[in-house]
Amino acid sequence: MTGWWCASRVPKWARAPIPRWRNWWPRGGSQGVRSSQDYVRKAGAAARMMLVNAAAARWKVPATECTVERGVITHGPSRRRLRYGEVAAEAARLQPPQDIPLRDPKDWKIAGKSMHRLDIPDKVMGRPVFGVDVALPGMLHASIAQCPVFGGKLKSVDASVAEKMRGVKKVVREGDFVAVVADSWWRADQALQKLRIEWDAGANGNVSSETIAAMLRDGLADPKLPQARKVGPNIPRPTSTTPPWSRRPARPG
Amino acid sequence: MLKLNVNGKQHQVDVEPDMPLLWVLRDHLGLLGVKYGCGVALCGACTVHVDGAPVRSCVVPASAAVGKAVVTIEGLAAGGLHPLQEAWIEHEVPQCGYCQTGMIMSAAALLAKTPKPSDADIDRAMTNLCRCGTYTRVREAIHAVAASSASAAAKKA
Repeated sequence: MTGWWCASRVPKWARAPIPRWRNWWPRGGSQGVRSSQDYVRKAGAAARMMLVNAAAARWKVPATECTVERGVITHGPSRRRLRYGEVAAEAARLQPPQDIPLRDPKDWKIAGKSMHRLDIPDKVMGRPVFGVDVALPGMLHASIAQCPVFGGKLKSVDASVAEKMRGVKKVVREGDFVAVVADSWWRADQALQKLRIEWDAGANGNVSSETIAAMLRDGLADPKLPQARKVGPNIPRPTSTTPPWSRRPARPG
Repeated sequence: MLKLNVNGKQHQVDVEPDMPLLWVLRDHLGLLGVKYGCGVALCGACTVHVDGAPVRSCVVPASAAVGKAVVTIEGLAAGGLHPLQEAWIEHEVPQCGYCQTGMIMSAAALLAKTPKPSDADIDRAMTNLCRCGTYTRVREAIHAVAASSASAAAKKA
């Protein structure tokens, strides 16, 4: 929309008339720009037209006499200038155009070029605020021990040592976890290590990779599922196994 | 009460002597460029300099840094950018950026000791982990700084 690189985040209103998959807004596989550029370009171009029209209406001049560059609208003959933001409220009340001409690729300024990323200078200085860096007034930190068995419960916990440790505010006992709350995460975690916890593993206490594999093998052997067992009338389906794993991110940020 | 010299300034902090330097820097001195990654000296996100040597501050007790000069990313280049930070920008090294301050601190310690490192030197010194996989650009940027400081030194001579 002839904004500039730093202003080129997709605004909310540009998201509306878009084919979606199950009402999701999925991004992945580096497909974002490739799959969305057509409608994002149209949305940007439509917004530019509306902003120019709003500026032209304010100046009472034909929109064709206005040009845009880096988010600034200029009326050539009178040299008047307005920033997008200054006419955004008026532009938002205009009817979106139906016929939206897109810029010829040979006139592209950003698309198709390698641009410098804007986040990097801050990142080499350690300035970005990651989740682990968020601090709110009066904020406390917790370190949590969860029952190692899904469906298990906390049976008992002796927190007598932890509760006396520096910075510790509270030991929270809940159904399947216990947490130490302290004035810093390190202090909470140190105290957590001093808890003496007993878990009640419950019905899943004996579940292991072996028992899960056995359950699946039994399922495959079920005579009511012949098609799962055989590729053809006399050809058994080969089986292979893979251990369970999770896609948890590897950092606390 | 521990007396620490961090980024050229004296600080007094009222902390447990076994509190890791990482948490003193982050929680008590507000230096959030130092990152907590693994907590067991494996990943290097918490790398700072203690008397010029790169250390993993998540396992160094604060008391061990008393009487020594601690430098974090915030103090690497007083008021400006270290040549490595410039090269990091030029070569667009970071992706998410979480591990990068530790990377830069490790690289700075490497170049201070070995101004013109080989690939093998870099591999040996740069044991920091990066889940975005920026390793090839890290290496590129280190070589670029080594080459430009070598040519600057040649011009002076």
